[in-house]
Amino acid sequence: MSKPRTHVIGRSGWGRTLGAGAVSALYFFPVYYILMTAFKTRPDALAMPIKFLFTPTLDNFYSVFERADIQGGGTTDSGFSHYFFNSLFIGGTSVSLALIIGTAAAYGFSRFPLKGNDTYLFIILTTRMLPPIIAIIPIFVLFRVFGLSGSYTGIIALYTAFNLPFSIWMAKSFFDDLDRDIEDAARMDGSSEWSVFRKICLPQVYGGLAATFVFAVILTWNEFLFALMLTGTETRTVPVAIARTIGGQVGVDWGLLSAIETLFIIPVVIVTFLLQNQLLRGVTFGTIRK
Amino acid sequence: MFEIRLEKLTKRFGNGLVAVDKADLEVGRGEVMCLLGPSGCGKTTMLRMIAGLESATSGDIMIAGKRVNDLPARERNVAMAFQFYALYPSLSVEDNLAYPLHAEKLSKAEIAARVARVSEALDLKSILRRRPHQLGEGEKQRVAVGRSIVRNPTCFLFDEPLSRLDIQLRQTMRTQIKEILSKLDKPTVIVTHDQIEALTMADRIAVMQQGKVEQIASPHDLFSKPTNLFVASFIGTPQMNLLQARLADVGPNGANGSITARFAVLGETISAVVDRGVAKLESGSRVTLGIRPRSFEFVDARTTDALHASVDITEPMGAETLAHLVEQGADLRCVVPSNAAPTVGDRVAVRCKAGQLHVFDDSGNLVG
Repeated sequence: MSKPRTHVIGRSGWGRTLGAGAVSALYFFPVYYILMTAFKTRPDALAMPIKFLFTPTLDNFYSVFERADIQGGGTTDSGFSHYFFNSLFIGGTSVSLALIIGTAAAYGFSRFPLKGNDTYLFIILTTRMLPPIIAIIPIFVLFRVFGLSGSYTGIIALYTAFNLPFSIWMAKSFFDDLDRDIEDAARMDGSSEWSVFRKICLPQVYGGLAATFVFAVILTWNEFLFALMLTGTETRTVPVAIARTIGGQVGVDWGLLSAIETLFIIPVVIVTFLLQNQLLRGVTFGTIRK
Repeated sequence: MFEIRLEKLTKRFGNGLVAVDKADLEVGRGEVMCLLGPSGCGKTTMLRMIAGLESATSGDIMIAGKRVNDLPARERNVAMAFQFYALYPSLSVEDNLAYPLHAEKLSKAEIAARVARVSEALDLKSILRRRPHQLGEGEKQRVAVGRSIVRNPTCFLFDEPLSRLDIQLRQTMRTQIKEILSKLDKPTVIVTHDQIEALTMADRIAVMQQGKVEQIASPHDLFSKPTNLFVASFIGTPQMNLLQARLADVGPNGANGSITARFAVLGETISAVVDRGVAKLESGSRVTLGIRPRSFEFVDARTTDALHASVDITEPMGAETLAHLVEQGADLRCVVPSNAAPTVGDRVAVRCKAGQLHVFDDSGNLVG
């Protein structure tokens, strides 16, 4: 008689873990390749076949911020620290604004429905249905007419408007899932409508809002098209600045490019890491009842 | 002086559904009133109207002598415990208990003192720091009750307070809640679909059906004098036997407002002492006889005024056995001590014990 195969229910063996590992490695490879290149010298970066073993250097990271002068041997500010500030400031402000306005609007749509509520919600979503490139020319003209081109106000307003539909729809679904009895209980306990929203409803959807925040941050952080057309030298964001480093007489400096990208993904990684507990609860919101 | 008073209270929803239909109800100081009825009868809607969570279409809601129809829930000073507890998920048990007190703008010391008193009374001391999702059903229930009694409201409302608890816990909580309510001496309205709950906890019960209050009476009166066929069949387990019959004739008046009447039922004629109200009916009119399963007694086949039937099924219920008897398509439910249970297939004779026969007229109202 052969020994019965034992299998612990609820636990996967090494084989499956290895399989999952291989898939993850495949996914992670592009990111790894960029990280690796960021620490390579120019010859190493261009070497074929790909060099996996090399002496790492931080030169690329220095040259992100300091550009060597052609004459004299000194350095000048490349402006990248300013572009990073722009990305953080514009992204952070517009996503926060969209979330604040979106949450308030979503609560309204959820709790005090208008006549034809669903129509309004649908109209809000239609603004996201067309590819942004279709809207770029009228928006460009509008920005010119109102003098918003190249200003922080303009690009922040635009990003806020673009993040709003998503924020409203997400937040509304979170509010819809809440138990209304809890709000009624608060009313019975003497809460005003404002306290019901502020003290009872809002804390219950923090997780969902955190998830919405992260998704919106990633979208905004990586946005290129509008930033290219509507920001000026003062308000340029990192994606646009990256694009400008490509080209020129000496060809693409892959090491420099990778260094910028490495720095570029750090804020998103930090935000996602800090909010990961909330994030998991947020995306699974409503699937677990009471 | 009634503390809660509903006058011709009506709720019509947007879709035309009348959830509560001209309901009148009065709850006195310290009285526990149970709203009892099948699901969808409007009892919860009625409770929510008293609470101020639902607006009344017409009629008046008076609390402590004041018309409160136009006051929002937060200004009515009414405490309510919800069916699914409705604890604030982001707050600890302690903060849940303190929440209504913050709204009253009490001092910190006063809030702490009140929370301490309630958590002492309900045995919540050990779980004050926990959040609602870390509590068992019984604990959640106690917190919900605690939150409603922590302040000093004009009245208490409970919506299906025990429906989520298992049977053992239900019994303990029933006693505990009853004890607490008797100490509070405030008008209380409890909504339930469980008649045991209503019969054990209430001072008076309002039986509702399709938005109408059918009868308001003490648990005992409800059981012994159900005003119509609905109440008769709704109250009591197993259900009351309702037999189609004809009034044969009525004898002379007896003592204590009683009268002897004869009925033709299941092909036999039985006579019984009933309330004098039966005399108002004409001989030969159709009536429904109501007999509780425990009002039957097995008798010798030759006994007068007995009904004869065959034993169809017996269901042991522990100390008692429920026997189903059939005769002419009618099903008679009799509860007898298990040691006296009849054998399936036998022909038996049963008789209604004296004074336990209910007579309903053709339109279903109790006459005697």
